[in-house]
Amino acid sequence: MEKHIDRIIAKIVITLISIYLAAPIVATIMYSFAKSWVNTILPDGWTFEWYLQLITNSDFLSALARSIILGFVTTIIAMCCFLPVVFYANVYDESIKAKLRFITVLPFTIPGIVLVTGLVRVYANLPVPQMLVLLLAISLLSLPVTYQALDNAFIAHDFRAMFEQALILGDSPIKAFVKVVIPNIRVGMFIAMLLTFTNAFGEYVLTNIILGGNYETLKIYMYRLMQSNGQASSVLTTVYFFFLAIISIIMIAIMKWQGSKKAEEVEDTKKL
Amino acid sequence: MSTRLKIFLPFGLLILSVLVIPVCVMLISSLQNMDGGLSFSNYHQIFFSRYYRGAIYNSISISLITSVVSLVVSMVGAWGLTKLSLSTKNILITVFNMSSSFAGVPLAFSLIILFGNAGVFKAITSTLHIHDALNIYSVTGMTFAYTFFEIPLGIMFFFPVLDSLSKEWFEVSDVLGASKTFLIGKVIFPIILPNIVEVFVLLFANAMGTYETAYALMGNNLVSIPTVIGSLINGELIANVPLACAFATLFTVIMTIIVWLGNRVTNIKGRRIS
Amino acid sequence: MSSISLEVKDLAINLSGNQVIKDMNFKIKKNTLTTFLGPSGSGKTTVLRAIAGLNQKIAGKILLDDTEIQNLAANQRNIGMIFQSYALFPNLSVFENVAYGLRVRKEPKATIKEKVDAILKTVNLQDKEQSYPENLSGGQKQRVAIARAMVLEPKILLLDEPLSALDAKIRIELRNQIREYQQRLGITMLFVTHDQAEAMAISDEIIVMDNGKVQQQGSPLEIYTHPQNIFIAKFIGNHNILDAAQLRSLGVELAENDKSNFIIRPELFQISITGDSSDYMAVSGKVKNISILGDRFEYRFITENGLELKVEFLNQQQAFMIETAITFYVKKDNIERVGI
Repeated sequence: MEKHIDRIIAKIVITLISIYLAAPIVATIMYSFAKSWVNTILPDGWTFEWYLQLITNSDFLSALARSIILGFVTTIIAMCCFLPVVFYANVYDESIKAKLRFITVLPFTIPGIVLVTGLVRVYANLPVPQMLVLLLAISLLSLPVTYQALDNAFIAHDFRAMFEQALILGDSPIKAFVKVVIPNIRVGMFIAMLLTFTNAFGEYVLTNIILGGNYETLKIYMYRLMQSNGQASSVLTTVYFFFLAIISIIMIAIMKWQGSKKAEEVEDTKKL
Repeated sequence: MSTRLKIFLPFGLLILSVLVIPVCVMLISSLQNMDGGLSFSNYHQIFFSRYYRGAIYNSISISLITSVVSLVVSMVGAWGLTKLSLSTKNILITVFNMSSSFAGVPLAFSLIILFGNAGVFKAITSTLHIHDALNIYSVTGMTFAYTFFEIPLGIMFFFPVLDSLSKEWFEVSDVLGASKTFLIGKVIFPIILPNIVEVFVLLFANAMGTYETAYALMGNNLVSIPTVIGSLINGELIANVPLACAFATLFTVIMTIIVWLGNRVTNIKGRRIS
Repeated sequence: MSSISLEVKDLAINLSGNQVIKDMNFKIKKNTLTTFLGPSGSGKTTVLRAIAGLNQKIAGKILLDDTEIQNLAANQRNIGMIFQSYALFPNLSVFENVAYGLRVRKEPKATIKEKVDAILKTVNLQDKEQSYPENLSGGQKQRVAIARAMVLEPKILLLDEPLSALDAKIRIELRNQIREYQQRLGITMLFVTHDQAEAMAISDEIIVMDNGKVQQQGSPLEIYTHPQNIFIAKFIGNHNILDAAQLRSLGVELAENDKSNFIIRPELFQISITGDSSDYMAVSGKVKNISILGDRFEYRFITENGLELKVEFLNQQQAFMIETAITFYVKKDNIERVGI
């Protein structure tokens, strides 16, 4: 009986929190379809007009392209820097992980707005492409997320034994890495890349301060639009929201698929 | 040894070029005045200017309130989550994850639609003839705004902790005839206390470092540590990077101490249990 | 051709500043199954990894078929190794797992097919060729691991606690499987375990290790009946260990200055004498406790002067009741003197 009451309370609590958190998003979605919605409880009417306007807008398309490029390049840089380290920590020397723990608190002790002061001070007047500085800095800020996701990829199998087995069977370390390690962490790598991409795609602080208006990404465009055109801005926010939603759905799907595979494996090892 | 070097080279270069060097320069610059001479003038300015003290005060009060409120709500939320079925759990966790990454410009815009001067909330309150309702463009409004990403973040931190609490404890305590409040007070609470401290520290630090949402909502009208840093770097009129560095240094030192203290508390408690 | 497959000379290994292996020497004969036996932390796996070439820094020599290999990289030693987790590659089929080493050696496709088919037939997995590791049972996984190592015809096969993660019943089945293939294929095997029953059951020779040193090397029977020191006696069996004073108190005559320790195996107690009674030591006392182990009974027995002894009998007659007063006999020849 008590358990039953617990569950009902839990459901109520979760529903309330969900409504609270979803309210701004729902309002934005409604606003994006509204003909006009000023000082009224519900909009005056519905329309697709704002969507057509945004999608055909060249500013929007080029901002989107810039954000995608930023996300893409950052993901590649992050993978090149972090994958070898995570591999080494998992296969050669677990004790390195303890030393890398500072990474997890990095975004809290040195958030973007703090890091940017030093970056501006060092690189603003150097003949270094600011774009490069930005890309490297975003890669660094994505480190906790990327590192965690990559590290999780190594949980599933005994990679140390697999790697060493490949060496004993005659392979060189690099070939063993490519043939034995990479194929078995590809799902985890994909999740790590997706998260890194999302992070960079939605980056605002560094992009805005380091490159200013010279490189208008989606977020910066969103901010500019917000000052001038509420309807268009709501459409953009809705589109951005759906982008995040799609990424989330992909991740849920992958995790479910992996989860069911795990369960099967456990079943298999039980029978001999 | 050479393989080790090859593996750590890209990582090391990245850490060096965009973390170690900038942070060191930031520390040094914070001790330089506009002419390049060494002095404490930046720190002097921060502590003796009412404007900058106000920024520190605002940041701390907003972060403190928002993180305490979010801590409580997210604990209840995470508890609720553990009671739901597995598939609902997974979906909700992803939803909360998403809403925490919705922070920043999109969140600010959404809140303006809801609570702005021409927003739905205003329309409702003026129909009901309520005045002095929530003003989103204020310190209070900001505190409120931060809960929208702090609560999901807190739930994401808390859920694994509560989910890992052993069901056996509840069963054992049932067998021993202890009441649920007794169990929670004597067993569960002491066990998760370090986690509560940890999550609080993270939520507080996260709120302290929030620039995007604050700036998007209020531009440079709200003075908090991050927005002051932003305007000191970018502002055409008052650009003063060394002063920004001093603020940033102050922030890093305070946060490092708090996170370190939080870790200490966590470790001591953790050891006592084991 | 010498009959020695592997020889380790003056091996010393440092791991993060600690000398975990000190001056180790031993030889392993061809076509035998030798077990490295020792408690966890005794350095067994470290030595195995050094032989395979997976430790970075070692001192001393390792000779395989009379050739020094300690300076070769792991991929040049022609040694096979089976890990505790079997380390099958989950992304490759059984066939591809077994063919892995042959492909690395760039053997022609036809040869690969021929060799892999042959070895899979030997380990009875010909119908699992296209399966993936996740769909195999524990026993099948082990056989794939053996086949993958054996197809390269290594000079020695190292096994690093391949059974320790398994349930008791499966362990016995799989250890017999290992022994069977070792004998059928004529492989030299070096097998690491911390389980003395496992070592006794399958080995030709046992090397007992502790504290980074070889304590004793010999056949299972030798090690069981003549342990060289107390550590081995305690580790290998359930022996009664007595010092000279205790043994004297049971009426055995010893030299005044004798400071040795002695073992009496619990299964050597008898309830009656055949022949001359002066060949026997008699102990009287009471049964304090009994464990019924199915095939045998294990007693805790308190002698009249308060010594506690372990005594075992096969389950062939009525068990003695607790508190029963009784006299047991042990042949004096069966009391074994050991070092410290």
